Amino acid sequence: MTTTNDQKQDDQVHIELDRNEASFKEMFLHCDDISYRLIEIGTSGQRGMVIFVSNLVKQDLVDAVILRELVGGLRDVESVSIDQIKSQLVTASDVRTITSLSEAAQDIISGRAVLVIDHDDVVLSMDVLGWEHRGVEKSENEVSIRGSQQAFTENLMNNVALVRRFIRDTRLKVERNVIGDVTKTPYIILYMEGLVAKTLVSEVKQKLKNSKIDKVLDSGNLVDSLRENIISPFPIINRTERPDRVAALLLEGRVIILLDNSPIALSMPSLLVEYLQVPEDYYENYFLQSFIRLLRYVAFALSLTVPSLYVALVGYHHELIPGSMMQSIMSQRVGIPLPTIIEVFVMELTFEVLREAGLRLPRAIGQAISIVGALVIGQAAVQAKLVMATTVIVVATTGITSFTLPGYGLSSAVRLLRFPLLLLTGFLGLFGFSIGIFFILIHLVSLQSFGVIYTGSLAPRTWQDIKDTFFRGPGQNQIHIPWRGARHHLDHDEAPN
Amino acid sequence: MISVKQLSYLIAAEIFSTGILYLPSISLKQSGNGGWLSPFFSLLAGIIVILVLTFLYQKYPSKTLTDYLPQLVGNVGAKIIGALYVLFFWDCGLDVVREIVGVVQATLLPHTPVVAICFAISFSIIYALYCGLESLARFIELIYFSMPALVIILTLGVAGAIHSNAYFPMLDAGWSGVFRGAFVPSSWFGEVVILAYLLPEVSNSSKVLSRLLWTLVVTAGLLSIMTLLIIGVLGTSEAARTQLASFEVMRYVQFGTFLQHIDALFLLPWLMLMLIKGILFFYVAVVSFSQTAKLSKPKILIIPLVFLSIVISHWLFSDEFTISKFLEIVWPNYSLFFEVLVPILLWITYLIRQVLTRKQNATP
Amino acid sequence: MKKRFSPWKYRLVFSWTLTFTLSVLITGCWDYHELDEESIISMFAYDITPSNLLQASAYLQKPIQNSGNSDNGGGKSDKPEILQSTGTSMYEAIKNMSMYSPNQLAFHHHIITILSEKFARSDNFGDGLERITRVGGTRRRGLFAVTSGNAVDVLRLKLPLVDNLAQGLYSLTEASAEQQFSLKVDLNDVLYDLTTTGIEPIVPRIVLKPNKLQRNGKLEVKLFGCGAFRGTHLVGWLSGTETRGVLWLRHKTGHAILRFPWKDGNMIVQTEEIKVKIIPPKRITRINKRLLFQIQTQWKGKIVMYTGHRILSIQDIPSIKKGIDNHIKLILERSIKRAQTLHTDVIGFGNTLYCAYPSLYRQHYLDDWDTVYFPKITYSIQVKAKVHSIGLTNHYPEDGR
Repeated sequence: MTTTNDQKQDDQVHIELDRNEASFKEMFLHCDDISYRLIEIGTSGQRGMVIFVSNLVKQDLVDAVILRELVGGLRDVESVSIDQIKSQLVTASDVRTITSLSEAAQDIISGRAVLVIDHDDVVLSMDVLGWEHRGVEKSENEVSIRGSQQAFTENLMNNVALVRRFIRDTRLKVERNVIGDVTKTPYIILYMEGLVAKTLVSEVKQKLKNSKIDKVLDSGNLVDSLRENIISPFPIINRTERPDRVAALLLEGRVIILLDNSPIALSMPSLLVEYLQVPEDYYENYFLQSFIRLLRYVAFALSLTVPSLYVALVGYHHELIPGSMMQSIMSQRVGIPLPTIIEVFVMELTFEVLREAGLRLPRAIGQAISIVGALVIGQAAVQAKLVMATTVIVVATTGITSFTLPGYGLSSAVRLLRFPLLLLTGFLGLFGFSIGIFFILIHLVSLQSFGVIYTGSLAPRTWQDIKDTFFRGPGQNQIHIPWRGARHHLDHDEAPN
Repeated sequence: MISVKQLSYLIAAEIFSTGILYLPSISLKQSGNGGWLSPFFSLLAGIIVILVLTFLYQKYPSKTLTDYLPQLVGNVGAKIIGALYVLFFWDCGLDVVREIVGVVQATLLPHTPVVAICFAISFSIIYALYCGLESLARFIELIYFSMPALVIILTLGVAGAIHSNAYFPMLDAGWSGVFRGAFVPSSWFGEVVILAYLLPEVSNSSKVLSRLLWTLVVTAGLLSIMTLLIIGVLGTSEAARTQLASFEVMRYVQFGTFLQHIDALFLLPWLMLMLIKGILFFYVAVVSFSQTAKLSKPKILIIPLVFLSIVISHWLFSDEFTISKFLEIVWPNYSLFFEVLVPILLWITYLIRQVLTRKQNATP
Repeated sequence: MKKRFSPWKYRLVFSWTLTFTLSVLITGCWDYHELDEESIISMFAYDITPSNLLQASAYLQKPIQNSGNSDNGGGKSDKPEILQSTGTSMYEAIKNMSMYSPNQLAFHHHIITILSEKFARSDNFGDGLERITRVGGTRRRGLFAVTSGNAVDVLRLKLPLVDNLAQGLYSLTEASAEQQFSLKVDLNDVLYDLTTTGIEPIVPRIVLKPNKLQRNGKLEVKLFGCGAFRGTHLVGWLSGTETRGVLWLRHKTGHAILRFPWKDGNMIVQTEEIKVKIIPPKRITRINKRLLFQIQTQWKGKIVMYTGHRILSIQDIPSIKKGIDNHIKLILERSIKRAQTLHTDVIGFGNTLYCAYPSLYRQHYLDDWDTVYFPKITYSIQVKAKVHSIGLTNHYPEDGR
């Protein structure tokens, strides 16, 4: 009991500047990036000290807002209190008073400047944040031809501002908090009040609060604690780097998490169909976009099944191959050493390796790799009679179709699931294939993302859903909660429409 | 909770999956070219079961058969009937697994040992049972359209090869033939008896009755179209000669010269529907078992029941011949006992008890 | 509050997956076979050897020779790959054949079966049908054809511009069926005709004759006419024209071209649609009474050629119609007479009768229809022709008169 009291006492800002300075210096031992600027205020020689991290704050701002006012503005006053400084002198917009030393220290390392003065047991913390960061740039990972081109940056509040510019409504709520026991990274929960289910917001908050994680370096770190207890290759939390996408997701009643230092926003709950939609769908002509969306569904199915179906056809059910095609495949088969199943497996693996290599290498070399891989190796392997030309075509088709999937999470799930499906087909033919598909489908329909059925608007579906699932029907400019039929334990009683 | 729509799809899949492959061959042996009428008479068994079960469900809302049996036949009787039903459902599931294995081995994988196919099937069933009834209901919502699609694609694929004089003279085996041909299939329509355990899971049970009756009629219609196709393509006596007449028609489908021999593709949706049927029976077996034995965790029953059934199916039906004979001769008799007779008896018991209590109330 | 996967649950999932994968991996792919491990048979030919053995020949589908690789030697690819074996029955012959082939025999791309006359007249055809339907290896889309010579000779043919002989024969069959000199019959049609009451199967005939243009003794093939069966036995041939009549009577419409003399030249007309309706006798009082069938025919078509010198006008149409009427009547009569002399009801009069009087037919006619009652039936033919176009010109190109 007493020790805690003592600790509290120790944490309290002392009335004497020297003692405070000593405690700060003790706390920031071996932290050479901390600046201590000693100043004298007024005529009585009352001392003050501004403490900040040199490159986290905007140096000009410290000079203009604090130092000039404090040093220059108080020639005719004897002494001042923090309250006076706060209300009369400092022109920074975000200031607050703190009585705890550790809290003040936290503010310093978060990039605020802290003013400590003699004869006052409170300190003033001022927002003079201004470190070097990237400007808003064009979205690179979610390219679209139409619509806003800007992408999120690493600057949290900037990102919020980007979203605000899309939704000018008081119902857009922005709740700020900190996560990570060590990193203490700020994050923001965005939601539209009235559109979102209340239970959803509290569930997200609860999960984040309960998660005992030390380090949060990217929004990806949060995903694991948010999707606890769900073992699945499928993404149940969507991600985006486009503010217009975030705005659209918010208007569908989702919760968005923005994390400092991360240009990727998380959105939840997410449905499977979301990963097959892009913002452009709603900006362009709906006939064209319906067609393209349907194409995406086909591509999704193809990229998962084409290699397996090919193996089933060539290895098991020869009767399914049309007569004329049969002859050409037969002539390719002559002299090939590997069984088709292993051939496809090896080629798929090679493709994945090439893809990873192309991704990690600098852009200029990456393209060379993909050309070398695709053209040279493929062509050479076919000519050397190591693989069938059809196999190369099949693997290429799989690759290309998987690139049409807009959601990265889904396409990686498909990449992963392709291999077990290939194995099953290789061992049991079309029967194994259908067993594999059965497993995948029944797994998909059993998934839930924050109480919403993952296959919502596909598996529990209504006519309203169909209009915006396989097709993009006209008149999608009204607010519509897509999982209305798919909610499991969410209450949407407050939602309008 | 599952919706009425999903329930109706489940029931349709349950009847359709076996019906599409076995109904025509079995009923055509008796009914001549009037076989396409047989499904509509087999339908009667299903309608009776649905009427009785929904009536009892109205009297005992949100209760399964096992739950309300003690009130009708007393505790001991309830235990006995409950146990018999567990065995019956379990046996149904077992037969379904064996049917899948038989067809897969006969058509897709002739050299693969039964054990491998059985394992693949049982793993899917176990996984689906762990996922639960709701997942199954959503799954059927994804693939239910394959039932009409199967029939439509078959129709388009063989339309050019239909011999119009195969349908004449109308009813060459007479009405009696049609009735005899309807007997075996009626046991498949009677399989809607699983409703006794599914109804409490339905979220809005007010529309159940009409929706289910419509489902049965539509399913019977699809099976009737299938029989019409078989009669037209193969001819009545040739169809009766072949074991899997539907499969022969699937093999006959041809679109241009490019798409032919696509029988294996027809088996994919059929396999899924059949798996759903198996899963439903095992689900009901697990539920009824746990309720009869008053177990708190029904899920521990899943793995033993499914694996045991594979061993037993292997032992009971060692060859194709046994299973087709079983389906034609043994199965209809004893399944109709559980499907139609017992529910009707329970309904009568309920009515008698009603009268007796009224009298008791009246006498004092 | 937080539900986490406990370690034993992880272990359970892991062990299940492991067991499954291992059991699959260890036992392996039983039905897996590569394309180059199979001998894909696209044609079968069945003969009876002089020593009364059954001889089966199979035409194997070859991989396409890559024309870019000239070092393979292009001359080799001209020779067809034929497997041949003999046996006392069809089953045995095919079993023996598998001994000659290093690869597994595969029947799934089988397109056409050719029977020799001797084979078709023997019991072997019926036995063979029994066997292939029971085992279920062959598909019901497989075509059938009969030839009066050796069936193997058909496999050695070289069709112009066609790489795959079986495919070529398939297209040839379709073309002849369109012209209605022959027809397309697959296994299912044969089985249907066999098992349906009151109708007997017909199978197209392949005619081989020496090619006049090529001197090296190469044979030329055409599908012309058909073989008429009683049950599973071949009993005789129908000529091209007779086949036409039978096809019309079987309600098969096509684009047959008819040629008949009219006025001072030949009139050639093309059929667009022909509808034939066989009406069974109104009332049957005595069994042995002659059965009178009404045959009503409706023909629709256009004039495609006229070799005479008259100028065709509207007034000529009734007379042309009459010519067509008589021609069709003649064809129908000829084909019915031919079927009657062969003692096999390939037309389906029996079926018509059966549809009208099922029980009576079953009682009295079923057993002896083909041999006793069918040859005695009488018929009357009415034809209604309709010419809907005389073409774009009205007379022969010559000096105006």
